Amino acid sequence: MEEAVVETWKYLRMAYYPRFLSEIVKMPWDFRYDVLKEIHGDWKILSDEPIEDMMDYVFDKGYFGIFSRGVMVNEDGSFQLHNLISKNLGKTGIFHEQI
Amino acid sequence: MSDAIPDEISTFAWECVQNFEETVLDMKQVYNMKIFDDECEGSGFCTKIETVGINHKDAGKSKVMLKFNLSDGEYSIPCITHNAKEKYLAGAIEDEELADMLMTLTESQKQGKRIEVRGRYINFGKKRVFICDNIKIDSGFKESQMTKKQFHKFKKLCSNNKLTPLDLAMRDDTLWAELYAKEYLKKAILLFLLSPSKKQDMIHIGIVSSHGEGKDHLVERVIQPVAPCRMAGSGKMATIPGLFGAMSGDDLNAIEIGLMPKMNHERVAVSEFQTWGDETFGELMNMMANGRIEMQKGALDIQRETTLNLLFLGNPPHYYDEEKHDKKEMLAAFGQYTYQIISRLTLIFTQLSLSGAEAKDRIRMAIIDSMDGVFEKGSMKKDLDMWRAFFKEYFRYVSHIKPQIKPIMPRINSIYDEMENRPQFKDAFCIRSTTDNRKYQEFANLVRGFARLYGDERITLKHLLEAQNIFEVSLQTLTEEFPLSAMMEGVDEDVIAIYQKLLKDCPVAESLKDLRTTVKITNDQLDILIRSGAITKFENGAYFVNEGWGGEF
Repeated sequence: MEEAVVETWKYLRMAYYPRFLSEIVKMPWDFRYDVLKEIHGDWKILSDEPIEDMMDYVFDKGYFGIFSRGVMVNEDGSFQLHNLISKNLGKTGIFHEQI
Repeated sequence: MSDAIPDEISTFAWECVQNFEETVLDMKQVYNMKIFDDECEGSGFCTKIETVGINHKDAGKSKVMLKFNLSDGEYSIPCITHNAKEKYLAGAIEDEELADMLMTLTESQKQGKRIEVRGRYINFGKKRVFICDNIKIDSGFKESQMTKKQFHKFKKLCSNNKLTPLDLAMRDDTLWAELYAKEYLKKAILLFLLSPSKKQDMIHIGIVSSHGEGKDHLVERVIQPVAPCRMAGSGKMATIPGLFGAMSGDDLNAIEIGLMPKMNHERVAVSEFQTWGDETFGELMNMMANGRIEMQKGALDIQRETTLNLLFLGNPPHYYDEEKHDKKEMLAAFGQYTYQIISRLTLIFTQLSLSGAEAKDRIRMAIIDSMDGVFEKGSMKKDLDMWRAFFKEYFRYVSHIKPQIKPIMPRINSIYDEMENRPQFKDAFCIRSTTDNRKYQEFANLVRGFARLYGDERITLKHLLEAQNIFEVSLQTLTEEFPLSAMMEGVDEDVIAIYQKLLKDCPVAESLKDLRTTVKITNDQLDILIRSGAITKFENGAYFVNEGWGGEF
C-alpha cells in the first residue's frame, strides 16, 4: 500500500474512529442497526433477527470493520467519509470536549 | 503537578541564554543614557530630517550636519551626525557614510521602515545631543540568536527525554507560572507568539469572555515577556492615525507611522475591542487579510507593511439578549464588519471562563503569588526569566522554518472539507458561499504553525491533529450555548454551581429558608439568579428553579 494511504488510515484510526465509536455506542440498537447497515453498504439480511446478526458481526469484527467500509481513501492520501460517519462524529467534530 | 524539567534541558537552556543579548526594539535605552557618555543602541523610526550646512572655521569647507528625530512612539530622540572636523565636533564620519545615512533616514521617513541606531551623547555648545555613528534599516523579521546547533541540540535533548518543545512551552514552570489557562488557549497563545514573515503566516485570534478572566494579565505576564507585543488603546484612545499613520507635522511629504506598521512582523493585542468604533474595524480589514495598509493623504500615496498577528480581547456587546439574539451576535462587538472580521480570525474563543471552575484555587493562588511578588524574586524569577529568554529565541528560530504543506495537502483538503460541510461550521463562520478559501488557508496555516511550535521541518500527522483539534474547539465555543445574558447579570462559576445544586436538590422551595438549607447562597447571588431567569420568585414567597436555564454550562 502507498505510504500516503497508510498515513491517512493511521490518521482516521487515531482521530476519527474513536469519536465515531463513542457516538455510535450511545445509540439504541434499533437506530444503531440502521446506521451501521447504511454505512456497511452491502449488508445482507441473513435471519429474522437482523439486529442480533449485526451484534454478532460487531462482536467478531468490532465497529472498525464497518467504519472502514464507510471510508474511501485515495492514492494521494485524500479521503471521503460516509455521510453517516460524518454525522456521527459529535456536534462540532471529532474533538468535541468539555470546555 | 507534572514531573520536574530534566536537569540536562534546564542546564542547556541556561547555557544558551547566557549568550543571548537583549534585543532592542525601542529608544528607551538611548533616552536613559542622556547623562552618560557610553555608547548605546536603539531602534525607531525617523520622523524628521534636516540637512544643515556648517559655517565654522574649525569645521572645514562644505561640511554638513544631519539633524533628525528618531521615535519609537514613546520616546523621541533628537540626533545628529556630521562630516566636520573633530576640532569642531567629535564623532565625525566620512562623506560617503553621511550620504548613505541620509538615504537610510529618508527611506525610514518616507517608507516607514524601522532603523537601528548606535551612538552616544555628547555636549554640543549648551546642548546635549545624541551623535550617531551607525544607522541601518531593520528588516523587522528578526533572526533568532539561537544557533542551528543549539536548536538541534535542544530538539535532541527533548526527544531523549520523551518531550517536545511544545510540551515544555506549555508548562506552568516555564511560560505559564503567572496565569492558569486551559490547554487549547495556551496553544493558541503560543501560535500567536510566532512571528509572521508573510501575510499567509499571520494568526489572528479573538477571545470573548466574561470580565475578570485575566485577559490583560495574559498579555502582560505571558505574551509580553516572551515576544514584542504592543497593546492598542480602547475606544477613542485608539485613533485611526495613531493605529495606521498620519501626515507628519514636521514634513508634509512624509507620513508618520502608526502602531500597526511599527509592529510589522510582531504582534498587537487589542483590549476591550468592543469599545472600538466601526470605522476602526473597517480600516483593519485590509490589514488583517493582506498584511499591509494603503494610505492617500494630499499628494502622497503610500503603502505600509503590517504583517503582524492580532489578538482581540473583549466582552460581548452590552445589548446582547440571549433570548432575542442569535449566538453569533456575541461577536457583534466588531460592528458592521462582524462577518468580515470573523472570516479573518484564525481562531475565535467565546466562553464564560477561560480557565474552568475547577481551576479556581489555582487562579487564586496565582493572583496572591503575583500580589506578594513571588514571581519577582529569588529562584522563581531567575527560572522564569531564563525560560522566557530561551523561548523568545526559540519562537524566533522556528518562525523562520518553512515546512512544506503540499505533501500533506490531500489530507488537509479532506479534513477541511469534512469540517466545512457540517452545518455548524457554516453557521459559526457565517459562510455564505459554497466554500471559504480564507478559512481553508487559515486552517493550513494552523497546521504549519503547529509544525513550527514543535520545531519540525516536515509536517506530520500530529501537526494535523493539533490543528484540527484547536480549530474544532474554537468552533465548539462558537456553537455551544453561550450564556451571555447570564454573564451580563454577573453570573460566575459559583452561581452556576448553586443553580445546579438547587435544580437537583430543591427545584421548588416554599421559602428562602428552604433554599438556604439546601445550599449556601448570599442575597446578591439569589438576586443574580432571579434577574437572569434561573429562579422565579412568587408573591407568596415560594421559589421555582427553572430547568434548562443558560443551556449547557
